[in-house]
Amino acid sequence: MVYKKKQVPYTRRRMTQFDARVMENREVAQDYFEIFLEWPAPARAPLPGQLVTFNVEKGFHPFLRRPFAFASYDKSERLVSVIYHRRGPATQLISSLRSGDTLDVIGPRGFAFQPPRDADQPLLVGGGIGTGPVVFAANWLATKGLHPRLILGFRHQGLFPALTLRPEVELQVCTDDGSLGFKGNVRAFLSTIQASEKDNAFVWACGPYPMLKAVHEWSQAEGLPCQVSVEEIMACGVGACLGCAVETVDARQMVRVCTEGPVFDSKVLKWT
Amino acid sequence: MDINPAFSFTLKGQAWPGFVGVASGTFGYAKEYDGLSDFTKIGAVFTKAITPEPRLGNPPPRIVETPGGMLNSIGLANVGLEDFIRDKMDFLRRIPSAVVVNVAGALEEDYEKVVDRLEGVEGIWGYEINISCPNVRHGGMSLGTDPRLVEQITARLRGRTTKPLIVKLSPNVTDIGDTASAAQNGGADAVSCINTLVGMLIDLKTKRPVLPLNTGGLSGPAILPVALAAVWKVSRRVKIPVIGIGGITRWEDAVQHLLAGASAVQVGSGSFANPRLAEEVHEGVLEYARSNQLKSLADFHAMAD
Ligand SMILES: Cc1cc2nc3c(=O)[nH]c(=O)nc-3n(C[C@H](O)[C@H](O)[C@H](O)COP(=O)(O)OP(=O)(O)OC[C@H]3O[C@@H](n4cnc5c(N)ncnc54)[C@H](O)[C@@H]3O)c2cc1C
Ligand SMILES: Cc1cc2nc3c(=O)[nH]c(=O)nc-3n(C[C@H](O)[C@H](O)[C@H](O)COP(=O)(O)O)c2cc1C
Ligand code: FES
Repeated sequence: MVYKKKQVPYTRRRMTQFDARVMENREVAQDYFEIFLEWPAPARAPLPGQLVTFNVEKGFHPFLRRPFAFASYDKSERLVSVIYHRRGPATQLISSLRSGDTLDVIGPRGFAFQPPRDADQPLLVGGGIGTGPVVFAANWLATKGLHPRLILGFRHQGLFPALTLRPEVELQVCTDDGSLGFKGNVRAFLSTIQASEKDNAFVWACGPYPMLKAVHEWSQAEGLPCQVSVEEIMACGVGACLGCAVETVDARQMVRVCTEGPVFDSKVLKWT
Repeated sequence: MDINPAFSFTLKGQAWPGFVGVASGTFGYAKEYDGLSDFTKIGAVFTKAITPEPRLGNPPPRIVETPGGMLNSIGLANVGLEDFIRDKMDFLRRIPSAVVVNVAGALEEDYEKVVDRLEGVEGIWGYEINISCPNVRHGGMSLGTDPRLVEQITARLRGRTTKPLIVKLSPNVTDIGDTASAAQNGGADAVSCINTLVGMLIDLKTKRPVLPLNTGGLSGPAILPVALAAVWKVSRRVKIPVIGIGGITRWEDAVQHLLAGASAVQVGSGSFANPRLAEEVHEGVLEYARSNQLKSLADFHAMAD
């Protein structure tokens, strides 16, 4: 006897896991690549800040899926892309994929950047592996009629990737060694922004933790709303394992980066 | 759905629609995998550990990949008994899979509270008792390390439910056969075997363990041989059925568990990379059984001795 007799059908959502075809995979800076994947119609359209996980290897190494942020979505071409840093076993394998190969993807997942109702001057800050989502955000906001300011930081010129930006996007590159653009990090550049340019501004940021923390503190001091996309190691990427939980200012609550995040209002998170 | 009774794991006359479960803590409360997994081929969903009160769990980072597996330090993070009943049971009742609640606590009374409350809740097939969690009364040591305590807690819960009661064994003991037989003596209907192994990784930069609480639970393909040896040993020590868990990432691994003496299996961290793993294991094992003239789950056991 099967203990459940009545079976009400459960829901089946839109296609979220599939083998995506690699259309292109090119080096865009030193050890940085952009991979373009075919995004079939039944799959949901990704928004800036949302993530996709790749199961790179069906065997054991690497064992876990790896999360990445979308860097672009082209609806008419049905293409998405991810900008990634080749740094370990999974990204090494991804960088060896050629057009025509397939990649097991789950996505889009997670919570995207949310345009605030009462501000219309986007200040988008990114760097390193956080470049993809802010570039996507900049192009997306441009299609909404806004004129985003995109501030990207790198250690040196060689790490600055080739980007496709809409004309409405105003790009400001910062390098630690001054080899390209502003000499200094993005936080130092933010200090140079004029008061008039902060009118009606809102901040979206993605990048290394110290950078996010500095951007959060600057936004707080300036009274600007700030959303950040954060990282934590993920196992399931779908909200089931609680592995990606991070602490919030409310000691009774933790949030899952893969589900409630990766984008959070920076005031919600506990900064350490 | 065509359910073959010979391949349905059954306790106390209550059958799963199959023999492949998804392991506690690796499938959330099932809804997370809605649209990613086919529940008609998942025999049972073992929920994340449920405690009387909600728990936050351990500080981050909670996961680290290891050669052939992963360490986790989630702790007993869960929504708590009442929220579980209110928010999670609805979906669980709608899927065909049997629902097994993984019960945990810091005190023996916590386990009793959870079972007592759930006795009145519709749609629960049975309980899996997680005896690997640190127990406050026993100096933070888990009940699972002491066969006397295992027998006691099993007997206490046995007195409170007529539903299937499964004790989940910890491999972090001298002789897992002793805890298994203690569970049997206490009145368990089955044992599941194994929970994670204690493990550590150290960061060369900080020269500290990677996980904030130093150690975590090792799972994944790396533990398959440990799990198989445990299933082999336990299934020869006790008369009650053994549910094999540990290291399953392909149907072939599940076949090994069954041949070692398991009557059902659970897939755990393998679902993270492949949410359809349970279905694939279900199909693969059935195909293997067909081509090897094995007519039931019990037929696997004749082969191993
Ligand atoms: C929400 C989110 C968005 C991300 N977006 C991007 C992106 O757009 N571009 C990009 O290059 N990288 C991104 N990452 C980081 C990316 O996941 C890691 O670079 C990748 O996992 C490295 O894998 P590896 O095997 O090459 O390197 P490894 O040597 O295995 O790991 C290198 C580092 O990557 C991180 N990492 C490893 N495994 C995981 C995991 N399972 N989950 C999360 N992080 C892990 C850890 O910080 C680790 O120290 C993102 C991470 C998160 C959480
Ligand atoms: C992230 C994670 C969380 C887990 N949480 C629990 C839990 O709450 N209760 C429990 O009994 N086992 C828990 N486990 C153990 C698994 O149920 C399983 O016994 C173990 O992972 C071995 O199986 P595997 O190698 O297939 O992953 C957890 C495992 C993982 C990886
Ligand atoms: S990665 Fe599993 S809950 Fe977020």
